[in-house]
Amino acid sequence: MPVAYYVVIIFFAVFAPFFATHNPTYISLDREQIKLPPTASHFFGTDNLGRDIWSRMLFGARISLLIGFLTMIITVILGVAIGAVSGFYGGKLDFIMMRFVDILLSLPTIFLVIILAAFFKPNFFGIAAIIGMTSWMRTARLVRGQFLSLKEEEFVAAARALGYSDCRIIVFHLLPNVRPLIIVDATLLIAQAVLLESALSFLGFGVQPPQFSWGSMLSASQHIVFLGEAPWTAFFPGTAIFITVLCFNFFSEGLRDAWDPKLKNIVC
Amino acid sequence: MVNILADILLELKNLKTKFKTYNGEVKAVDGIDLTVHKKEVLGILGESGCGKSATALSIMRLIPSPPGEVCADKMELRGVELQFLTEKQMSKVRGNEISMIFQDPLSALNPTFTVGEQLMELLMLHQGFDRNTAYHKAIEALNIVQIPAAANRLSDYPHQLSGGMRQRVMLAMACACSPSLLLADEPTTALDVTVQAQILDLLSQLQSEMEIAIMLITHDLGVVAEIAQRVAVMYAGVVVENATVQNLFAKPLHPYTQGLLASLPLLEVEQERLNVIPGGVPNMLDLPSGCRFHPRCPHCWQICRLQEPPLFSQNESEVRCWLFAQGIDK
Repeated sequence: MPVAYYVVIIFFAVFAPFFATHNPTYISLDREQIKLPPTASHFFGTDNLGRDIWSRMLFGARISLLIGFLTMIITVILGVAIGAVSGFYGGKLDFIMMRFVDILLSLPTIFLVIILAAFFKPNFFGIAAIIGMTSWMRTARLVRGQFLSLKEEEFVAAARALGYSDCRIIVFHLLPNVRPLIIVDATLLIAQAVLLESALSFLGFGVQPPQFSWGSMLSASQHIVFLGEAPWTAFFPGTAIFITVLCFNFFSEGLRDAWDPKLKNIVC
Repeated sequence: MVNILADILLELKNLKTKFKTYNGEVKAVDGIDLTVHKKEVLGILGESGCGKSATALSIMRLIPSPPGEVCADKMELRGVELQFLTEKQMSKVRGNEISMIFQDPLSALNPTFTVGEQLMELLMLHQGFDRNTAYHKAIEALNIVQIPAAANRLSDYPHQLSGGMRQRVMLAMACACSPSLLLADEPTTALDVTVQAQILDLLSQLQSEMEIAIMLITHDLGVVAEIAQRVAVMYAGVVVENATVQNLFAKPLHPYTQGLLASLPLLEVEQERLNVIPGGVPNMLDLPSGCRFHPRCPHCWQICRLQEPPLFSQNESEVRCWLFAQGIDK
C-alpha cells in the first residue's frame, strides 16, 4: 500500500507538467478566480492569488520530496560513518566524537538551521545540506549504540579470527546488522526534513518564491483570514504532508520486515 | 613419541597474558610453555577462568589492548615469530594458517548473511577466487564437513540450521583455507551429547585427512579422551601437567588432575555422592602464595605454601608439583 502510494506520488512529481491543469505560478488578476473552492476546472481550488492548487501540489511535490531525500542521504552518510567509527573503535575517539555530538545536540536545531539559512541564503540543495548537517547526530548516536553492543558479539571475534580487516568488519559485517534500524531512521528523517523545510519556508528562509514546496504552500495558507475563507488551501498540502509522512513510516516497517532474515520464508 | 618431536608447528615459551582492571592486574595466563606438533590433537584441559581461551586468543593476537597485554619469549608458528608480524601480515595468518572455532556457533556466525555468502566471502578474500569458483569451493567445504544437500544449505541463514549444523558450518569456514592449526575453543560445549560425538568424529577426521593440527580447549575429560593425543592441564593460568592421553588417564600425576579424574562418576562402582575437589578456583587478583593449588591440595606440605613449583619431568610427562621434586625430603 505505501509502496503503491510512493509509486503514484513520484510518478506525479516526475511527470508534473503532464498532469498540471494550469500554470502553477500563474497569478490571476481576476477577482473571481481567487480562493475558489474545488471545482471541475480547479480540482483542489485556488489560493489567495488565484493559483491552481492542484498544479502547485504536483510541482511542490518535486521540491518537498527532493529535499526530503537529499537530506536523508546526507544525514545517513554522515550519521552512519561517524556513529560506526565511534562505536567500533570506542575509547578516546568515541569520547571526543560523542562530546562533539552533544554540543551540536544542545543547540536548538531550528535556530541553527535558521541562522545558517539566513547567512548563506541557500538554494534548495543548500537547504537540504543545512538540514542534513544539523540532523545527523541522532543517527550517529543510534548507530554508535548498536555498534557498541554488536562489536562484542562473537561473530565479530570470529570474523577477526578469519583475518578480516576492521574496515571490512564494519562495512560488510556490522552495517548489515544495523540496516533495519538505519532504514527506519532514514524514513523518519525524510518526514522530519519535509516538516523542517516547511518550517523554514514559513519563516521565509526556506524555498524562495517563485519556487515552492508543500511546506511553503501550507505556510502561505496559515493566515487566519484564509483559513476561515478558504480552508482547502491548507487542507490539501497539509493532508499530502501527513499522508506522505505516515506512508514513510509504514514503508519503513514493510522494509524492515522484508529484510529481517528471521521473518523471511514465513508465509503470512 | 620421538618422531613427532621433529616437526613442531607452534611453539610457545613463557606466554603471559595480563588484563589491567580497576581492581588490579589479572594474569589470565601466567607463563605457559606449549608446543603443538604437526597433525596432532593437543587438548587443553581446565576449568572456567583458568586461561584456556585467553591462551588461544593470545596466539591469534586477538586479545583487546587495552586492557589486555600479551608477551611471550617465543610464539612461533613454523619458525615465524607471530609477535613481530604487522597487523596486515597477521590477518593473513588468521583464517589461512591458524583458524579458530568458538563455543557457541550461533553467535559466531553473522545472523544477516546466508551460510554461502559467509563462506564465499572468506574464500574470495583469502584464496582470491572469483564468485563462481568460490561458490563451488563453498559447496566442497560443506561436503567435507558432511552437511547433506550442501548446495541447498548455502542459501540458508544461520538461524535456520540446527546447532550441530552450525558448528559444522563453522568448521567448514575454519578449514576452508586448509590451515595448519585449528584452535577449537570448547567446540562441543553448546551441543547435545549425540551431536558432540559427531562433531568430535568430524574433528578427528579433519585432523587425519586434511592434516590439520588441533588445539582443543575444553573442560570435558571425555572429549579429551576421545580425540586428543597429548594433554596440557591448566590451573589458574599455568600448565600443571603435560602428558599423553594414555598417561594422563592411566596415572595422573598432579593432585589436581587426580582430583579431576576422581570426580568422574564410575559406571561399575555404586556411589552415593560424587567425589569433589574441595574449595574453589582462586581469585585471579589474589593468588595463593607458593603453589596455586595448595589450598585445595590433599598432599600439601610446607614448601607448597612458600614457593611455586617448576615443571618437573616424570617419565614422559611434565608436572608442576613439589611431590615430584628430586632430593627434597617431605
